[in-house]
Amino acid sequence: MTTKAELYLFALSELENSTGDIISTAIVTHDGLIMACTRSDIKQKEIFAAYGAATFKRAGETMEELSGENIDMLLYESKNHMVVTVRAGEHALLIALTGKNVQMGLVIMNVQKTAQMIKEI
Amino acid sequence: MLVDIRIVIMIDTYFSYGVEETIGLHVILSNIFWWVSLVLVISAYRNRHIWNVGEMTWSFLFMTFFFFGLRELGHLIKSPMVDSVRYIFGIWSAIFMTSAMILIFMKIYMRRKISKPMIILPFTLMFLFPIIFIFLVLSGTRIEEIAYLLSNTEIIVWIVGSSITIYTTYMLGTKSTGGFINVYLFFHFAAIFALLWKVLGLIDIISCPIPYSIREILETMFGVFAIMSMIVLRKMLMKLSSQIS
Repeated sequence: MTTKAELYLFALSELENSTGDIISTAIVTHDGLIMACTRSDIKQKEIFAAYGAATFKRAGETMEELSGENIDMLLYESKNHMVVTVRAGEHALLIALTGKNVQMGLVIMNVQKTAQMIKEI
Repeated sequence: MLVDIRIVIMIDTYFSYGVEETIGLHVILSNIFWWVSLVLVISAYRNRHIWNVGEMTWSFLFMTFFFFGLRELGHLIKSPMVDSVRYIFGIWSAIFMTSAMILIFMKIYMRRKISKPMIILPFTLMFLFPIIFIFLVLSGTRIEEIAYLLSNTEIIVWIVGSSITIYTTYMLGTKSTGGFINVYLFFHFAAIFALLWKVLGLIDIISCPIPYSIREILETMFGVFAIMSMIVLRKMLMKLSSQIS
């Protein structure tokens, strides 16, 4: 029998295959616990999840203060990397770390599509 | 005759105000809190793949609660020998609580790899105290004096350990989100109560007698917050485990 964790991992693999230059993706809880992650390094996995969730939480608080609305997506980038975080249902977040050689519009579209898929799982 | 009566009244007054150590409600509560906490740690450990902070961190958490549980059991038997062993268990518990939080802090906050010396050091410290105890017994030191010495050592170890834990849990709390904030917050409060409990013990030794009942309350609160942190951690892991299975 296929577990939800396996279905989540399958959704993440599909996202990575359909969008080029994605370094890693993860589905995490708002507490920063991993539900599924494509990163192989266990230590990096935990940090990826913990920091990703914490950043989304802080950004959510800022959004609520500024606009009075809930945050749906968070996007931040550095010289060589970009991180996209979206809500994937009530309890989960989808985080994608990409390189610079990626089309931003395509990443956002695919990430949102995957988040919807995760929500339905 | 008059002098004798005054002495009796003084002792009785001290006893009424809880200056003396008693085997009362706090011992029962403490034992319940720490042993239930141990069960919670074991239960949470079953879902360790969800919160992967390393096998050693989980082991340290287990030993923290296990040794403090043993320490509290020692309250039930009143003898200097049992007291000495009890204080050693208390020292071990402080060492492992501090080490567990340092390991989590190093991994999550500092993003450092856990090195071998960081794992070996707590065990080295752990074995140091029974060796001192055996040496003192063999050297003919009175067991009452050994118990007194170990009691003071336990106070110092707990003060140092809880001070470090207050710092690590505070820093971890600032970097975490969701339920983990509560886990670190409750551990932070537990460490504050442990520090207060032992600082009062130190003041008591140095000069000013502190009513034991106050220290009993602080010790009980230490247990309350420790169990609360484990309840929150276990609840989070169980919830996620059911969500992804």
